[in-house]
Amino acid sequence: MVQGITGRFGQFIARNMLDTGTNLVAGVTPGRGGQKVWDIPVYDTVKEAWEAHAPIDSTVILVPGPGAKEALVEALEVELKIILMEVERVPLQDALECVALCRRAGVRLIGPGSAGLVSPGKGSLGIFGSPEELATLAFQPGGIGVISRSGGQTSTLAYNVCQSGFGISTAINLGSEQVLGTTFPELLPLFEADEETEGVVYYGEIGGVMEEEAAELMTEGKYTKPLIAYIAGRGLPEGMRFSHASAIIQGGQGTVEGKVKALREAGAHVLDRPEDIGPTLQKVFKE
Amino acid sequence: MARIFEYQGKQLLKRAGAKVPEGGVASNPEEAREITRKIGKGVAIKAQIWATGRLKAGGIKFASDPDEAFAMTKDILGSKIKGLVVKKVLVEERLDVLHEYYAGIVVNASMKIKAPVLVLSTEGGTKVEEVAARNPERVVKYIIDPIDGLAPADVDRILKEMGIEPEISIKINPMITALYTLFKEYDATNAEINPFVLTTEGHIYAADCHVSIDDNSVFRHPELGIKVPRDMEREPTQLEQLAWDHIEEGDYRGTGYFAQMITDFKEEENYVGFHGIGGGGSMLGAAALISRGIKIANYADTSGDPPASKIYKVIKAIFSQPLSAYAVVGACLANQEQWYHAFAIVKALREELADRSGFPVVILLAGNKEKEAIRIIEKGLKGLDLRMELYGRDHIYNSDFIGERVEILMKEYLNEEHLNKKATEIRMAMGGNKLEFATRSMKTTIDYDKCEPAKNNTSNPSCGFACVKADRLYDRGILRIEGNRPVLAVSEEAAHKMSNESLSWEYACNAVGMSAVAITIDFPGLEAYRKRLR
Repeated sequence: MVQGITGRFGQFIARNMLDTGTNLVAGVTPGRGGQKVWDIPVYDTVKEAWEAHAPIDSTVILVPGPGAKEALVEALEVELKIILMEVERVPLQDALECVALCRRAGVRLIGPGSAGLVSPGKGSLGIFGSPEELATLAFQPGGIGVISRSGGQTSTLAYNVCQSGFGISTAINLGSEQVLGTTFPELLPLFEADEETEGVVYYGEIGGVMEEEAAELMTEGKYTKPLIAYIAGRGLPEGMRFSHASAIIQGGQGTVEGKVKALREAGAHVLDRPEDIGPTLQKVFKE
Repeated sequence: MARIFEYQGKQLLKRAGAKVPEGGVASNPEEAREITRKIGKGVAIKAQIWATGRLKAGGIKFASDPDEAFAMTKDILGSKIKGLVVKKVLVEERLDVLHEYYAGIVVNASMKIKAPVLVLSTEGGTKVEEVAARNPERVVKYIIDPIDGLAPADVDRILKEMGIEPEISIKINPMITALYTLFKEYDATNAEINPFVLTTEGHIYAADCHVSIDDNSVFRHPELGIKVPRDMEREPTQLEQLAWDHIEEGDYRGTGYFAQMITDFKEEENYVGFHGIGGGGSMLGAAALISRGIKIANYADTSGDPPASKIYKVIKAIFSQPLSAYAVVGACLANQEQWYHAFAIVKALREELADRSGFPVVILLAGNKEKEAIRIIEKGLKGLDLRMELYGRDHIYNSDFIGERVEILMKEYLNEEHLNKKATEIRMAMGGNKLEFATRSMKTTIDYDKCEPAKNNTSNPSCGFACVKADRLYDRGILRIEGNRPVLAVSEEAAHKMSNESLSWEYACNAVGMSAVAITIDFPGLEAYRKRLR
């Protein structure tokens, strides 16, 4: 399901999802019930969509601004498993409530601010896996999981993986907001359990604690497959935010050095330069 | 997180029900004298800057009468404390302190928490992290459920656990509850009272207050007067303010982030104007340049599908700094069509670099419509004598190499003797025979005296109606052909709402050697800013 399907961006996302083979069954936009987008029926409310198509597994929320939280509350009225909030710049208090509401309901939240996730050849939520020009370059099916804090770097990493002769099991953008429904360490056990995934490549950056927490989790043995990681932002000054809400070093916490050290000690292959990804993939997975 | 000043934080606390010392803000010594007279006893004069440790740095002084307050305020105002210029002081009654406590609420993003955490300490006045390391028994942390919030009963229980006596606890409770109300209602990411104090008279006061507001929520609180909602340890520069006002504010068409890394440019240094595409790609690019010892003047990031006019304005802001090179690093396989970046780069660089022979420009662009974008830049900048290198997706993760190219080209450029050439101004020719119209953030003039099909009244001109063709591809239906000339395809009113603004018409017309189309994008204040710089 896509909430906010009738806007220019909504139609674009719906097209992408259909093109990746996703079983998109319904769209929701209040006041637009009865319309169709790419032949997909549009409903006024989530409940109506649910009644016509239940069970629905997941929804993509594209409703911007203050409406984003309301859309999520509405989505929680039915029994979805995954909610992907594509919306960026969600006010922090709203984001905190969304995360807490999903936690209580036992629903997995991706985002806010996640551009999407794709399992090539199977389907997608959000932007990735299409158009064809990019799909053939960056989203070939295979055994490597991709996790990224940056939307653009999700496809860039996937591109590098595919150009190095490998393919993607699932690529996912966590989102770049300060508080996220699903963080890097929470995804690792899922990739550990996924039979199609041989290992994970990860793009991280300055700020926050999720790389350190991932390292902790690896040390506890909850993720044992190979992890190749790059942490961006070496040399950037403390106290200033760079592009993403979460990318800021504060009180000496969130530095590249700290994250690299923690991940290396936990056994991850941490790249000094992003261009080392190809050779490292070869070394780790071919030899 | 945009910071607000101590005096603002205290006003919010007071409104939420906490006790704060009597006082007021002064922007000149006379006001400080008046406030002191009203208070009628000894006062503290506190510099309003975004820094802790003000007392040691000379940012807090104590005056015993109005005249002394006048003299001290005169000293503090305009002085630099911890690198920040003091523009205002808070003058407030001096308290007789018996004991100092600490209270803070901060959002914790850890996977285990993802909630605000209340931190209380029976020792205030110093950094709470230091206390926690030295005397952990003095510090208590409590996770606040974002849905249930923090009730006075919760606070009571926590204070009791800390061993605080009931007669004091009952006075502290409103302070903590007010702090949470402030945190929630004003969308703070972080709110701290360090210290709050018990006076000899047995009252609890907030003696200090630090609050940061979430960037994404600033729009909900215009009353706070936050000019640029963005994490910084200093106030925004004039150029950042201009960029915010005319690029970012109220315009959700993608990102056009601009922040200065250097605020004190030195003549003997050389700076690179930095322009990243995509959040992650920008960080990769900036780090690659910095790691080579290159000084980047600014950090800029255009991503999330901004229109060309917005990208153009970011580049204009970048070039409002003293630069010896310009680097575009799009280390990102962008989903958005890259030709909008190309049109913006062509227009801005034609204006900025027409007279700076040999200027180094290194561009890495990758993603959707990348080849087309690179061709547009190559063609559009033809004739300009630049040290320009263009790279595509083959170099997407070679940001180190891009950094090296910037370094080498800049060295070559600086070894040449060619500087101090006068900048030319680009002016539009104004004839009577023209079409003028506005779209969302730009004005377009088509001069029919320079337009071959209009001039010769031919339906088969050599330009092939390049502007209308470009419109179909990039702007989708703002222009059409009528009477052998390009005219508006929509009403003027409708055109005004069009927000795609690819800048393609001017480019296409120039590309066929005709220059009948001139686009101007308003950036109020930028010219005046640049004149002051010179």
